[in-house]
Amino acid sequence: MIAGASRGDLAATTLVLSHFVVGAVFFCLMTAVLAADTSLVHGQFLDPRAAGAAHLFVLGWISTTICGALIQFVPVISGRPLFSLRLAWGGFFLWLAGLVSFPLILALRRVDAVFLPALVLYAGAVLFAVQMLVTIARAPRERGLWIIASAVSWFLATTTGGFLLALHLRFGMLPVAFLSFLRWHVYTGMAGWFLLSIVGAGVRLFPMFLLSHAVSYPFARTAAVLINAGLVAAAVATIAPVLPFQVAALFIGGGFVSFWFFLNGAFRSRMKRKDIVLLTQARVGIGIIGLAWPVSWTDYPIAALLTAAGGVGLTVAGLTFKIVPFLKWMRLQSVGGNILPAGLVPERLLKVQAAAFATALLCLIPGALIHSEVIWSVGKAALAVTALLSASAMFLILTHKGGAVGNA
Amino acid sequence: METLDLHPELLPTLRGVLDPEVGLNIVDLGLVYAAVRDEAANKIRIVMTFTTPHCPAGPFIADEVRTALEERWPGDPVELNVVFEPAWTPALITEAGRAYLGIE
Repeated sequence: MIAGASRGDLAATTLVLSHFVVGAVFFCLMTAVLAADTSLVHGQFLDPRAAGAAHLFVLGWISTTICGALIQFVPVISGRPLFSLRLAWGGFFLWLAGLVSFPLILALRRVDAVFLPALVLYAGAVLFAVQMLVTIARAPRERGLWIIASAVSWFLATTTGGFLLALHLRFGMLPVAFLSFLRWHVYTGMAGWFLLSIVGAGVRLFPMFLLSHAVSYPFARTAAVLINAGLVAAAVATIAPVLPFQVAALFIGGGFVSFWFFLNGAFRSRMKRKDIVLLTQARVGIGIIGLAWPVSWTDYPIAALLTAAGGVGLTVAGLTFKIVPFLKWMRLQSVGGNILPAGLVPERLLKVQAAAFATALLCLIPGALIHSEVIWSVGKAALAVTALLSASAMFLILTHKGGAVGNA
Repeated sequence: METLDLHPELLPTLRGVLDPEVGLNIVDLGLVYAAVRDEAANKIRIVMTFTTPHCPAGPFIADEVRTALEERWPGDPVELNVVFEPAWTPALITEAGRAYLGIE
């Protein structure tokens, strides 16, 4: 049986590409909001505008992009179509409405009203999660989509937590301390949603893109088991102080190391030598996520978060520009185009983008550590350049008219 | 599969079909296990695989194979079977393919 999309399934690519485009736009918006913010560099992460900028980044760009990638990826791996394309569009528009209104309310410092856009955002998240989990449930067990299913479940847990936090700001109804709950919310989002999505998708994508052989899948499975165990430990430690939170960090750190072994094996045994810049960028990004682990043991939570989010961003950016050209290629194929996905990639632009992103991280993280507004400002400028270049690359790929390609 | 049953007459046409991700044609990538043209029955039979069962480009590659053969031999029905047993391995890449990919 042939798995995956056929020429008749192109309708879903419009939805997937819409996610990627919205992600790129929100990345640009986030850098604009960050430019006006002066609280994060001084460690004031509870400032509403700082929270707004953070959510534009983690929800507007990263989560929207991951959602789009999973809407493409899960049907291909499961060999089953999406449960409901109409439901997926409905969820997407709710998500989009929440993405616009949630940071806006925070920017206006109306924290008492933030539960309203949070509800819209949460409804979109629930519809997405239901869509993914039902699609996965319909797939044969041997497809190994349980890692993605666990990532989606943690996404649901994170957004549920976020919604409860928003309700708490109005009604004061959290049963545990606000900061403890906030820590769990952030931790679950970072490790449960972002990292497990990267593990779940990476276990398929890296060997496939790299033509790797002799890849050790047990390392990836062990990584997912340890990260899931760490997340359960984090939840227990938050609800009841019978377990120190550091136990969760140890499990998740162990899971990260295990995935790193898998990833190194995929790169070592690759048959593909050319056109791996974007995959190398994703690998560097994953390495940076690992650096967040030791930084999180310091007293600088913003620096740790920036390291983790920066690594996730670098990884997502790398994989985005592997996936988007492929989707555009699919659409060109349907109208008789004859260019390969690699031919659609604006390589120089993306290399400059990666350099700008690296510069942003190299300035923002130390800037947060030593509270230097000058270094922080350079980082913000570099991040704005990154976002603009990323959006430009997306535009160039999506408006490409196709053309001739050389044969091997 | 012990030996590949590849009819030389079909190979130039099949070499015109590329794996979009790798950029290498499907013959030199080792995706074609059998390519036979039965002149008496006017029938073409292809047995092929993809680099992974979850290859998102798989349906497109299969379509390209069918279209290319039907254009070259109009009227000859094409029987195309995609199999994953035996699984594709890098050992199936030809010398020309290895040179293109830059591997020893």
